[in-house]
Amino acid sequence: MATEISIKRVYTATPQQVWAAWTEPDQLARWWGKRGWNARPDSIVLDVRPGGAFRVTTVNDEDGSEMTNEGTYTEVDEPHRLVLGETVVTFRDLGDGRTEMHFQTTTEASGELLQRMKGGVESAFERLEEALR
Amino acid sequence: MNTDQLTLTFTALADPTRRQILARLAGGEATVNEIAAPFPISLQAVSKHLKVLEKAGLIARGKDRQLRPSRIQGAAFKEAASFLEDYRQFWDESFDRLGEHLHGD
Repeated sequence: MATEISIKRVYTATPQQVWAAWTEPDQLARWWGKRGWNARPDSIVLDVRPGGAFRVTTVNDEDGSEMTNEGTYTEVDEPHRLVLGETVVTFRDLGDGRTEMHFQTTTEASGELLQRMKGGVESAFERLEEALR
Repeated sequence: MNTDQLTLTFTALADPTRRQILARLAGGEATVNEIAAPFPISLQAVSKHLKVLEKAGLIARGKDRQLRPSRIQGAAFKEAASFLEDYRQFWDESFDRLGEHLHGD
């Protein structure tokens, strides 16, 4: 029972430009990861074709700890749609020089907890959280 | 908390009956009998659910052999919530940075 995590962003760029930011290693290296983490350029593998590998290792600026994201491309439809396992990213041309990026992913873990939050017990957990402060 | 513990926590939270039990316990500690009262399931089934919740670190149970009152344990919730928050934050911050990159900030 995996639930979707969905994030939409609008960028002032063409779908092709946003696509390139996702699929060209030197571009991906500039934005992938939380603030304070940076992608190690030599770690980036973007074999953008169905069955191809995706791998990025980000390094924490402060303590040097590393985190690797990896997956396999399952669908590649330039510059519209990119599917990496459970993750789907679509790029929609808004026709005015902007592109809407829609990012969707599912994980068992996060999905289940999100579903819990949408269920009726939310207030009980809020009270719990307050009690823990 | 390690990943295996997180898996236990999320697995425990995945079941609607266990979530209802937790909601009940958020209002205060309770014995197995008290917990089982609103459910159309056996005491044994409730005990099984409590075992899963205990193993996941979501509840603690008293030492009294007869009653063993259960109460919520906060740490596991915090770990689970911060895991999710981290996950969401990863993408939010990455996509902020993507915007800066695309917009030439």
